[in-house]
Amino acid sequence: MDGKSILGILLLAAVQGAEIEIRTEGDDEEGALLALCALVESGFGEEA
Amino acid sequence: MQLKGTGVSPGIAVGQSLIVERDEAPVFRLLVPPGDTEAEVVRLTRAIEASRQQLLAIKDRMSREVGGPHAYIFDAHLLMLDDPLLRDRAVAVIREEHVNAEWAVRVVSDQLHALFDAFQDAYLRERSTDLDDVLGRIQLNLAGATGAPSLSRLPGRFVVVAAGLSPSEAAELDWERVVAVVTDEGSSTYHTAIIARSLGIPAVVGLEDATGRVPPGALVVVDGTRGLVVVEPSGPALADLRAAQERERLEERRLQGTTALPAVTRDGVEVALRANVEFIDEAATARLHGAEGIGLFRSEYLLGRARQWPTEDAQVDTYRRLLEQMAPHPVTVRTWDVGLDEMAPGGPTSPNPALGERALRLLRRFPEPFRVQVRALLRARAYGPLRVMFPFASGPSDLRLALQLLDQAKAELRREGKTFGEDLPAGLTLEVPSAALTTDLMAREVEFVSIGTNDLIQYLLAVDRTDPRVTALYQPLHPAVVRIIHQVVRAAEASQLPVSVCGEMAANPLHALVLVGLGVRDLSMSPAAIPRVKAALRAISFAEARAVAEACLELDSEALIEERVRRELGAALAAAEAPKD
Repeated sequence: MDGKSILGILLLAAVQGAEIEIRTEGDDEEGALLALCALVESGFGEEA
Repeated sequence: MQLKGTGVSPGIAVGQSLIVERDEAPVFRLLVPPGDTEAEVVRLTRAIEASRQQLLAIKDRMSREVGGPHAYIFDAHLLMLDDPLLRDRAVAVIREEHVNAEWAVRVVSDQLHALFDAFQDAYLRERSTDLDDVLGRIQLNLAGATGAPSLSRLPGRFVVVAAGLSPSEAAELDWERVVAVVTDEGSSTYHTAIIARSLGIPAVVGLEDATGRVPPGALVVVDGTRGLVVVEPSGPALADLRAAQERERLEERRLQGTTALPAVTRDGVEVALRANVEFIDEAATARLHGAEGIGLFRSEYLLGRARQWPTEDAQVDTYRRLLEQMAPHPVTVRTWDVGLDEMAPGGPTSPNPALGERALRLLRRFPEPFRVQVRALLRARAYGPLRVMFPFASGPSDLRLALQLLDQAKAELRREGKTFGEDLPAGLTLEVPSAALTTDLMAREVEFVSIGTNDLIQYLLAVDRTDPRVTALYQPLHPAVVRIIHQVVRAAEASQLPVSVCGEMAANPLHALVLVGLGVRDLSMSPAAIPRVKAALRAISFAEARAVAEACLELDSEALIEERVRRELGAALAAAEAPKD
C-alpha cells in the first residue's frame, strides 16, 4: 500500500491494536521510518 | 405545526425558514472518441484544481471561525483529492474505457464504496461520507457549478431547513446568517452538529420530512435542547419561547464549563451520570453533555412511524453502533415498552392501558418480538458493555418469564453457532410498586435494577399525571416515594445489587440530591439535564445529602420535604438552579 495514499491507508482497515508493517525507500528512508515508528508509538497524538 | 427530531445543538432560536433542497445530478456515461480522451483528463484535472481551491478556502474559514481541530477534516479531503486511488484511477478509466470524466469519477466512486462497505469497523465505514463529499465536489465542478454558492452567501438571516448537510456544505455555510439548522437526515450530519454546537447555533436533525413540511419563509422556532421545531407559533407561544430562549442562552454558557468535570461530591463520592435516549443520533449529544454511557435506551422508538418491528440483524447493528458511539461506557437497552396496539394492530385494546397488557406482560401471548430483540442484544453484547433491562414486571414471576426467554435465546444462538455475549447482564426496571417491594426476592436473579420513577410515582400514588385535575397530586417527593426508594436501595445494598434511577426525578437537581442522599450512585436522565445535575452534585458533600435524606424519611408531606432540602442544600441548588420550569 502506498503510504502517500490516504484512501489506501484507510482501506488497510487497520483498527487500534492491528499489526502493521512499515517499509520506506528513498533518500531519507531511515529518517522517515524512525518518524513513522515514533508516530505509532505516540498513539498518533491521541490521548488514551 | 410541531415536528420532533433529535436536538444535537442546544438552545432556542426563532427565524424565517430557508429550504435547501439537494438534487443529485444524474451522471451520464458518454463514449469519447480516442482523440478526445486527453481533453477529458484536462477537464478532470481542472475540476480537481477548482475543488482544491474551494477546500483551501473553506479550511481557512473554519480555522478562523471555529478553531483548528474542526479544520483538520478538510486536510483529509485535500489529501483524497490527490490520492492515486482516486485521481490516477479516474484518469486510467478515461483513457482505457474512452469515457467522459464524470463517468470515470462515478466508476472510481463505485469501486471505493465496495471496499468501504466491506469494513467491519463502523468508524472506518463512516469515512465513506468524507469520500462522497470529495467526489460530489469534483462532480459539481465538472458540471460547471461552483459547489453550492447559495449556502456560502445566504440572502439574509435564516433558519436553514435542509435534507442533509455534508461536512463541506456545513463548513461552507454562511453561519453568521444562520439562526438555526434543521435537517431531514440524522446520522450523516454529525459534523454539522459539532460545528453548530461550537458556534452555539441550535440544531435539530432526523426530522425525516422537514423540507417537505416547513413552508419556505415561514416563521420557525427551533428548540435544539428538546429537539423541537415549531412552525408558525401563536403570539403568546412565541413570546414564551423568546423568553425561554434568553434564559437558555445564559444557562448554557454558565454550564458549558462543567461537561469535562467529574460528577463527584465535595467529599469524593462518585455518581455516574448517564443519558436516557430514544434515537441513535442522541448518542453524540449524550457524549457532548458528559454522559458516562446510556442508562436507558427506549428501544420502542426503533419501531418508527411505520410501527414496524426491526429485524434481528438491524437491531444488532443499532445496538452495536450505540456501543461504539459511547465506548468505553455501558449502554442499557430497555426491551419493548409498548402497548397492545403494537402487538395486535386493529384488535381489541385495553380499557385502561396503564394497567393493562403492556410491555413484559405481552410476552406471554406475543413472545416473538421479544425473542428477536433478546437474540439481537445477546449478539450485540459481543461488541461492548451492553445490558438488557425488562420493563413493567410486577414481581418475581414476571421476571422469571423474561429470564427464561433469555436462556432460551442463548440456547438457540449456541445451537446455531452464532457469536454472542453469554454474560449479557439482565436487569429490571422497577416501576410497579409490587416489584419495588419485592426487590430482595429478585436480587439473586438479576444483575441490576433501575428505578423508573415516572411510572413508579404514578402507580404508587394512583395519580394520572396527564390528567390536569390531579397533576398537583403527582409528587416526586411524597413521603411514600422517598420511603419506597429508600427501601429499594436498602434491599439492593443488602444483596450488593447495583441500583440506578432512570426517570425525570434524576434530571431535577433538587430531586437528584435526595436520590443521592438515599444512596443512589447511578442516575440516568435526558442529556441536556446532565450539566445542571452535575453542578449540584459537585457543590454538596455526600454526608450532608445523606443527613438531609434521612431526615426527610420522617417528614409527613412533600412541601415539608422540599422545604427541608432547600434549606439544607440551598447553596448546592443555587449552583445548579434551572430557569423556572
